[in-house]
Amino acid sequence: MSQRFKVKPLCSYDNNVVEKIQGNYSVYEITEQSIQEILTKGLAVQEELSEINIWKRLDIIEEMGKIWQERLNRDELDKIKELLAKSTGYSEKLIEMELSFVPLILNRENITQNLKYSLIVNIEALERFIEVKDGESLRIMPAGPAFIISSGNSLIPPLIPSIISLVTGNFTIVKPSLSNYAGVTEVFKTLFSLASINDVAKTMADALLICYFTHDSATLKYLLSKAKIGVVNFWGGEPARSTIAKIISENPNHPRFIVNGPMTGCAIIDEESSNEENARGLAMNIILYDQQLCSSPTFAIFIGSYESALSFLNLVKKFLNEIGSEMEIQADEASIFLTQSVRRFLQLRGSNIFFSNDFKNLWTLILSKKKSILDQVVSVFPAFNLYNRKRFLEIVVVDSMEEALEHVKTLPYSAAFKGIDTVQTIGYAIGNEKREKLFKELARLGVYRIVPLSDMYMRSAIEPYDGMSLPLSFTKILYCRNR
Amino acid sequence: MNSSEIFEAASKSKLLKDPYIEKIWSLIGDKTLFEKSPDYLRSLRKNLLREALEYFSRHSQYYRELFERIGINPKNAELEDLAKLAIPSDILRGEGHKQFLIEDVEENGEYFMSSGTTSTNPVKIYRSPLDLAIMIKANTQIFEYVYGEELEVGKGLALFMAAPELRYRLNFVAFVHLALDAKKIPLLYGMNLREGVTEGKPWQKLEPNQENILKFLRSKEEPKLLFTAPAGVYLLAKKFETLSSIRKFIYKYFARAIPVNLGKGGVIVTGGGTKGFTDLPPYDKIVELSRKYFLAYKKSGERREVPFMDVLGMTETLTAMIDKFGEMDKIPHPLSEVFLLNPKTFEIMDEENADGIVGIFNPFTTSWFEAFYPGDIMRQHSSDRYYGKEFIYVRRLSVEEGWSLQRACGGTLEELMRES
Repeated sequence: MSQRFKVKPLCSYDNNVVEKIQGNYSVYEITEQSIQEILTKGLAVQEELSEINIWKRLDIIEEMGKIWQERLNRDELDKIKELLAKSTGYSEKLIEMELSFVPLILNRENITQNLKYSLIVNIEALERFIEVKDGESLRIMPAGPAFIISSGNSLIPPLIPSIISLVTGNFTIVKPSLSNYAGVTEVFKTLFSLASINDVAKTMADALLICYFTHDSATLKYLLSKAKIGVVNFWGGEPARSTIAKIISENPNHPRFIVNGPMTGCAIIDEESSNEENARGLAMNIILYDQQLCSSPTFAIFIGSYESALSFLNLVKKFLNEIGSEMEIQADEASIFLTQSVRRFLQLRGSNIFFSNDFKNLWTLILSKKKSILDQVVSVFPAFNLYNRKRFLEIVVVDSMEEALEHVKTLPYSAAFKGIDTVQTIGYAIGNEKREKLFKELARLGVYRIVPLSDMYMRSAIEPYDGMSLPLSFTKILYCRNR
Repeated sequence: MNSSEIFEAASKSKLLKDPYIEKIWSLIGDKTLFEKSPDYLRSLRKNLLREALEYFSRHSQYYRELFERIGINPKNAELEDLAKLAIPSDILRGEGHKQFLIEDVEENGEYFMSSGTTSTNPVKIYRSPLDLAIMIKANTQIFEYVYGEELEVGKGLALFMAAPELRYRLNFVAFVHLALDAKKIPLLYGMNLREGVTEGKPWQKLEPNQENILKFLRSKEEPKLLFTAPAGVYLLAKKFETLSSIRKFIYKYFARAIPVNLGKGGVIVTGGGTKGFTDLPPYDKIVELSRKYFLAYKKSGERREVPFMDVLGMTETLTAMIDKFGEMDKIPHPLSEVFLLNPKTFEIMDEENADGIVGIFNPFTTSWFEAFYPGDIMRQHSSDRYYGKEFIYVRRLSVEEGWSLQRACGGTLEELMRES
């Protein structure tokens, strides 16, 4: 029997744990009593942290990034890379790329930009009152303790809210997923190593607890229903979201419930932009994380003639082969079976379908006229839902922008996209003169990000998160009038 | 319809005038197929594949267009082409089968549905009277081959641990019912459908028919044939195992129930899968336990361990694959083309002891081109018997629906922050 991976808490405090077996993992879960004791200390640490100079806090995060980069350069993270590739099913190449993103997440300038564009006042309000008008001051206080429940495979998503929460002064409890647990704790170990030589780092480390809780955990229930928590930030979909919401509603401390639900991305390409660069961009965004990002293109619309769309698709095929072979997919037999069955279904229907038979790069493209066929596919193969569709894209050819927008509008309500809240990202490859109209209409449709096609996965430092400011979600603004 | 009515209706089929169906009808009655060599049968099946493709081109525009679209020429089609033609059984859920029926499909047949173990939307297949007649003939022959001898007309008694209503719903029940009816062997149903229960799967609404079970257990007819899901015989044996010694005594001397004497030629035939029982022991353990409480005898009167046969008969196949525990693994009808697909490449594989996705082509089905893969992994190995190969069931392939941790981000907030 293979050895179980140990999922142990990372924190500064003594704690009691209970061991629970979860598949290939041994979870060491902090007991309810221990969490109560830690929370009591955590509230004091939160007070202390919120008094510390914000630039010093940012320096520590920046230092963590530097240490990470050095470790990367010295190949010290190879073991973690292997471990994460195994636990997530992603290729080592993709994990390598993810690990290289970590210093960007910990970059002082990036975080500063994010705070500046999110908060309504000078970010030094995070440590003291800042006068904004004669005698009128604002002070931004942590709204926590914050409890971040993060799901998914990727290492980066749990890092961003955790860093924001910590920097804004919160005592922060992070529950990563089992598959990214090793990566998240590895990143924060750099903070604990700095804590032994730096007082600010010590306070920040004291304000952090990373722990896994099983679904039936009494500690988890306590944290949600009774604990003196100020913010619960949940990343995920149903049914967990509603279950958690219900439990939180019973909490007498009335924590804020900030949900970042499942979403997806959609590409819009017009004939004049159907060039090699955009084909490459589309292929890259399909391959990255096998379309499992909320910004990943899982549907595409081509405005123009069918023949032009076919030519564009041939370019995309070329890049899918090139890029996909560098980032091999880890598909199991059942997933391959499902994909092959769907392809057969589409072939029998006479759909225009293109695919690779390389089981390490199993991409599939369908070109449809006017209407999507995906709903029919999932009615026959319910398991072929958004989460099981990997390197799979339907491109629907339409005549006009209006038709394209109609597809964007109806996408969240279609059976093929069951479970998503809305379209998060539109990746566009559209002629300059049409963009203004497109952006205006997309804003009405409630999408959150409108970015160039090749940039879909890229997040700017100043971007809000799904229509909201994450720093504001983790803080409260105090007002003071001094007359 | 009973078997006589089915044969009567089949004999009037206009399709029998088609040279291909005429040939099939003649072949399906030919018991000497089971004595032919694997090479002979392989060659026969290859010719049947080509003729079947031509037959379906003649009778269906859908197939004509399909064959053309995927580049298959009936005249020179090869076994490898079946890999392109076989459909996933999921397509046959709901009304999915309709699209594959030939234009002149004959009416007054029957529908069969899958049990719904793997999906709430069952596979639903139409069988014309001619197909039903072929089903009876072909399944009786394969059953008798594996059983080891012909079932004598009117001799013996069978108990099926199912409700009679399931004869018109589940393929396996119909297989057995019609084959025994054709042999005029009485069949008792050991279960009743509970009245007023509408929720759940058909077998979840069953309750034992004590009268029929006792009638079977006490009967001195020979042979006694017990048909059941593996769970049925296991639970029965388990019940005997856990009886107190007093109750065992009562059962033995008053009910004359245990050990259950199946008599000369007695056999237990299992089929229909696990039916949702997740804690069943492996099949060999079920056999081992059951053999303590069931007796059987050879024709000579010599006692023998009760034989166990297992039937793999999906709704979408006209004939079953049957094995006999300890003697032979699953073997198809000589005219059925059973092939394995490489799970990664989906190409036909021929390796010894290799596991692959099982595909089945039945050239004798007249209403649709019956080439499909249900989503099961099987292992093949060579065999001295007529088919040249035997098959072992390994497992079912399934992908979980719903939220998957493969999702890279819980909702958003994925990627990187670009350096500004």
